[in-house]
Amino acid sequence: MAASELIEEDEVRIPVEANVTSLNSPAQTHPQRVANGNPTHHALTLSPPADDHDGTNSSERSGLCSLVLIQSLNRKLKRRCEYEKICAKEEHTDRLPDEWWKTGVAFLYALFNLVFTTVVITIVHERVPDKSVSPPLPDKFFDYVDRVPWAFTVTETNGLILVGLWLVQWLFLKHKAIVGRRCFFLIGTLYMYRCVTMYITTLPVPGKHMVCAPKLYNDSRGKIWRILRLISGGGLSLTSSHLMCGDFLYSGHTVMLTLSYLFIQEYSPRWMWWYHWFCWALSISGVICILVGHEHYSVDVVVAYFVTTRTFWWYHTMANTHELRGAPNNYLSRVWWNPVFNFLEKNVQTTVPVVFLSPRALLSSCKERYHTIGIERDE
Amino acid sequence: MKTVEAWSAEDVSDWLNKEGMPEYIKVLHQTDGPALLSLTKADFTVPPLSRVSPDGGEQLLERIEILQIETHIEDHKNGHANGHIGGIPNGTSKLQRNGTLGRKDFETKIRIPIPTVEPPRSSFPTEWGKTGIAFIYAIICFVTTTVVISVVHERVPPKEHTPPLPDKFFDLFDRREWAFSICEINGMLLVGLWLIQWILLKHRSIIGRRFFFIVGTLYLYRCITMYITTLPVPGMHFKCSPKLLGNWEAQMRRIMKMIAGGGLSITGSHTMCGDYLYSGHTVMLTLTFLFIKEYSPRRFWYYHWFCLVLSAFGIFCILLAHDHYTVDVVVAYFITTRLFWWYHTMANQQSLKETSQSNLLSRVWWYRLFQYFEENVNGTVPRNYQLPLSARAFHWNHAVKYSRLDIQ
Repeated sequence: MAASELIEEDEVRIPVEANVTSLNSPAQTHPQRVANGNPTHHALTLSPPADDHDGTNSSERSGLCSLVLIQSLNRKLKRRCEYEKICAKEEHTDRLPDEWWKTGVAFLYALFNLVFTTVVITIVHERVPDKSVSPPLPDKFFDYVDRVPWAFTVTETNGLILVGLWLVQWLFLKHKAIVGRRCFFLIGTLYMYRCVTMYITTLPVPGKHMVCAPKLYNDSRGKIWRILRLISGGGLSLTSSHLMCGDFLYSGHTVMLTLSYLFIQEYSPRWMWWYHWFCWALSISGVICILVGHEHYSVDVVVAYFVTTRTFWWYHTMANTHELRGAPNNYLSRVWWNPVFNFLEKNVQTTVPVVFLSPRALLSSCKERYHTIGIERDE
Repeated sequence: MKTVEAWSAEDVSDWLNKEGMPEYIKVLHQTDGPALLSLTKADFTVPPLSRVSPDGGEQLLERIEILQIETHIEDHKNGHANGHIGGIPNGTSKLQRNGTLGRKDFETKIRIPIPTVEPPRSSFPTEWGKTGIAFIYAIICFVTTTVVISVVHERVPPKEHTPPLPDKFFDLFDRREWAFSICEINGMLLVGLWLIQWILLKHRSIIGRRFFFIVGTLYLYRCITMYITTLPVPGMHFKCSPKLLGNWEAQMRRIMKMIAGGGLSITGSHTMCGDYLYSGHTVMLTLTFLFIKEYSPRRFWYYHWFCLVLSAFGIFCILLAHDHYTVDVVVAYFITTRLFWWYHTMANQQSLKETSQSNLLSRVWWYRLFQYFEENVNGTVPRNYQLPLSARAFHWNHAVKYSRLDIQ
């Protein structure tokens, strides 16, 4: 073959960094136009020989030709140059590892913050000015809409439905661990912010209708009972656990309604628009009913909505946009919880896809896990 | 692509043009495909070809040869899938023999697409029009805030009726009278420093646009929170001017006075109460510090620290003077920093300037406005400085760009 002859007869003058593992471009030589007719045989004389005249066996011949070419090139290169070995990318490093223990840590964080909120509510309750001393503040919404007694029940019902829907949805997600981690972290952080704002300034009760439990000035035991009661009732008025006042800025009910809607929407398929609309309606009506029931000031609800949505979008953009990680001008990383974020999301390398497991798959994966644990125990 | 044999005289002329050999067009205007192929070296030794050809026709003959290969390869391309090593346009392989063009060893010829060189547009166009719009937006927001303060003032419950709310900071620290003046002096200093710094920046139109937009939005948010719920005065020391119930003219005058005084108590323009949630002073102190730090060189750490101290102490003094509740200050700080960082992250990252499923930052209500302001800004705005009057001098540094003239 002409080309291999060429290689035999000429020395490789220019070191070639060729990728000998691929048949494709032995790329990096310089195509040189010879101006004065001097022959310079490049190593890139791997161009196949005259194939022009018979197209019939040309592919076979050229295949063979390429093989011979490569072998000779290989020999040449081994003699003279170093070449780089390019490995095929290792398949299947898990880009969405589960890491249930991190979810556990996030769960503890959320739990701690919920308990802490309860403690702060109890403390703040002692400082709420009495209705007679400090009447309800002027509020634009209350001027326009009079109080409707059953409205708050609607809010809490909606909240329970939304949380229930989200729970069911979460159970069927494939990447439960990652999504659960995010949910717990956001709940924990939002409730922590709430502790701060509730504690530093105490707003008076929004309406004369509110019944506040009497103050227990130094009765620590009574306070602990109250805390436990509040936790066990989930902080809902429906369960009669929430008799304390003072936790107005900002509204925890709005946080739960908004956050569960955001999660439901984010982690469900896009074609289920009717489901999204239904949840959105539940959420919005719940929030409006808080105000209609005169249970919170308007500013409580607005601030809660703002903080919840911003924090949710912030976190998810940081998680989904991988160019931001380690970028120098990533201002999103200047939040105080950036180290926690890095801990939780370090090994998550892509956007979490919305994939659901069928009930059977879910059961079988549970069984598998128990089965594995059983085997380990036997061993 | 039809083979050269089928070319007409026009095709030949087109091809000559394309190959960058327009000098032959006139002479070969009657030549069609086969005639072109039959050109030999001998033809170039006699006129008319000898007159136009600078190199005895070598280049043209070579090109013709290549053309033949090309058309041949085009025809057989599918059959030769992996056979030709050089068949991928990553490089060109061209072997020159001893200058003889007789040997018909074909090399594969790959076309290298050379991108046409466009004159590079500036990545940071000035677009003062957009800055003007942002400025008007900020002005509207300021005026709206003043109007809302005036409206809210009418609704503030009197301090005897509703005493100041319990506040943790007020429990720990007693009031100092001089504190609020310090806060306002710090604020004015920071705004002055920022103004000077802004004038010295090279890309002042872009940065100015950002500042006006962020300030405007923050004050707009403030209007909303002030208006919907009215907090009582934080301290009994407050002297609120009397309410002008329904007297529009007096209210207008009050609004004008406030705008003229910049909303500061030092200038005596701010005698109205009710604008507590959230604190505008904190917004200005925090925002000017963020901008100063962002758009000044990194090595000026002493300058950054100085501004930080001014800012932090100013905020502390607001609380020390019992002029705002603690929650006002905390919420103001939170909203200001988040908005600043949100905006700048989006502005610096090209992938965040488009809406997509993974870009949740785009779900804010002001995203379209942001896109309008920042669509032509590519990349992070560099911290370059330039005296304002030498702007015109800057233009004649433009290098002259040459581009290839196309005949016809």
